[in-house]
Amino acid sequence: MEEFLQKKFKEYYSNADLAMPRRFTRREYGFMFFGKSTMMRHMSFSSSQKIKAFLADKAPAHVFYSSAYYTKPYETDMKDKGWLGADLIFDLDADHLSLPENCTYEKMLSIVKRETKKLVEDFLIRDFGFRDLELVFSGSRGYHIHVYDKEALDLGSRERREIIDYITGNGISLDLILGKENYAIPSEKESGWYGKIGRAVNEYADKILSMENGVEELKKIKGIGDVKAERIYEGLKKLKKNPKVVNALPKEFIEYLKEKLAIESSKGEADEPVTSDIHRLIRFPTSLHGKTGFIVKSLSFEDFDDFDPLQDAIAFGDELLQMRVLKPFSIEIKDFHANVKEGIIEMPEYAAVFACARGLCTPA
Amino acid sequence: MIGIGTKTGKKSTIARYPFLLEAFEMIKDESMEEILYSEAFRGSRALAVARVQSALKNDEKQIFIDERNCFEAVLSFYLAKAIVTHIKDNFLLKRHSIFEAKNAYYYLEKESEEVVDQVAKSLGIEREGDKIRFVTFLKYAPNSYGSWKLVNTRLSGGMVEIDRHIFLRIMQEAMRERIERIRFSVSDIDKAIDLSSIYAELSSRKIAQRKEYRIEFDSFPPCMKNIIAQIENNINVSHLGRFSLVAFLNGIGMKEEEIMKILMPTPDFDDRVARYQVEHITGKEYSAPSCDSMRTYSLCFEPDNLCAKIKHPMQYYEYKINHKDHGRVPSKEV
Repeated sequence: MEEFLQKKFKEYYSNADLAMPRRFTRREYGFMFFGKSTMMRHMSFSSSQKIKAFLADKAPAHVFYSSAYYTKPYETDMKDKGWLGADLIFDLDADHLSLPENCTYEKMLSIVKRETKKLVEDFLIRDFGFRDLELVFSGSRGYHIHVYDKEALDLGSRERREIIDYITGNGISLDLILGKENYAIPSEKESGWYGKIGRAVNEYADKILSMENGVEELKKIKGIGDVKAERIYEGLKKLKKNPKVVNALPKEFIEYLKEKLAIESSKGEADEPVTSDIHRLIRFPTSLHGKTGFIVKSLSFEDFDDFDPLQDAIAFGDELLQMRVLKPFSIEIKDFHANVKEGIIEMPEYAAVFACARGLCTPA
Repeated sequence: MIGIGTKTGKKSTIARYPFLLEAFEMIKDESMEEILYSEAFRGSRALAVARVQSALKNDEKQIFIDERNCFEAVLSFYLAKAIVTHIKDNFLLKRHSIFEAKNAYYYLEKESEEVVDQVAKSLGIEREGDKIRFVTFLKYAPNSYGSWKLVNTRLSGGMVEIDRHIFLRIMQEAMRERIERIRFSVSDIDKAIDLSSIYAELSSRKIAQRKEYRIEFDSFPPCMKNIIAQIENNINVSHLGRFSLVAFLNGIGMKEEEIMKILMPTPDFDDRVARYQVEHITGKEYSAPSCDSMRTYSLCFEPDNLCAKIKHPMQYYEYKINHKDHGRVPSKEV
């Protein structure tokens, strides 16, 4: 199985059009190989030919490079490497999102995509004003965003943590944003979280007021009965004209506003340790993901909406191969949709590589 | 180059921000020989020591700067920086840069927006209306709580909305960093300027900072041990000897009552007079004499190896108690 994968990966890397990372000679490279659980690290390359030759020769299962630039990327001790700066990285992976139960693969991909769009548009572009971004399909269940803006490269770990806290709403002070005792919903037009919370509350009000049974909906909030729901409903009508009207609403609603409404609906998602780590290794775009065989693929923002990894990140061809199934599975990749039972089965190369990488089958 | 001097034509404005290149221009052509030894610069030298002392004491009194003393003020800043560079103590380096940055902050509070923006620009900070780049905000925010946490700011297009107070506080941090980075060395500064009071104060502050505070007689320098032994053996101790001991004990943080108990056995002990003396010394915060002075007063006694490395009895004590902590071998779990 591993020999098969390595052979296929070798074929891919022998012909692949690899996209060299920016300033690739300043970066550290790391590799994991089929059948081995350790990582080969602290590698550096002086030319793109050398990287290509290495990949074609060794055909690693996973290929990484450092988000950081170093004077001596080959040194094994971090303090000897001479840190020069690092791309700012965001990692959005389905594993870190709270997904609904029994979530299908398609549903999962659409949730990750929605969150990625929100992260890029609402946070990285609108709030942080970043301009030089690269969006990358991780090769598995998520996306990576690389930010190359000059001012981002120098940021230390503490500053990067502040950025991720901003995105996830960690450490937000509702006392500052909504007021401590004298509450006021911020204007939708305000910057930062002030505007986000203003928009979230107004959207919520619009939603309730547009419902046929808005009052019933309000009664779903803990501690809200008939009388209070009516009061809140009337209050929400006045909200846009008078942002201080919240003060007159029942305290159960204010609690709901603070705990659920204000942050939950506006917060972005991204894995915290990835962003704050200034020595992180990240997947090499145009390399293959060893657990799927998919291409780690750089995407343009125009293509992102229509991007479907099960169609567009496929590295291998349609040639039919005989495979021995190790355990039954169902699969939907490109044109191959099947419920596979144990035994010998013929499937296209791209599906065979995926199923092999998942440990579901082996060449017959 | 920044334009404070040329635009407002006031050197006194520059002198409030002596860490700026323009201020350095004012003094750079003076002869160091003159600065260190000439009577004309005695005031600057004294002010330099006072600046370092104030930094150590966290004493926020401001130097009044006008057209007449602006040269002296700038010179004293660089001499103070030279003293700090000479002593090579991280605690002092930090304290000093915090103090000078705070000082500049208080001046900035009273300046016109034009001057504020010019100083900011020369620190590499640009304000656009009431906004700054978020990276500048992150770099110089004094902490990351409440309104200093990015998530609680108004951020849009990479710009954070700030008011004047926040901007000045950001500048204070930038000034602190700038001041800390300045390295200004003057050879033989310790020969030209008596630094003993600074050494004493520095040790005293560092001793007081320790979490676990107690007096450790074992760690006293031989000279102080000798004076105490003389008192205990009813040998009459000179006024200078008593003064040195009281200043030393006060310096390491001993309470007046405890100091009185140590002085008690002296033959000429007069509770009223002794209390007056102790209160006088502790109240005025006199510092103990340096090793040089102790030798001059014939109070230096059987100096050991550590004595050879230090310049002040307080440093001896500080070194000993710190060394004790570090030298302790942790017990091994079996």
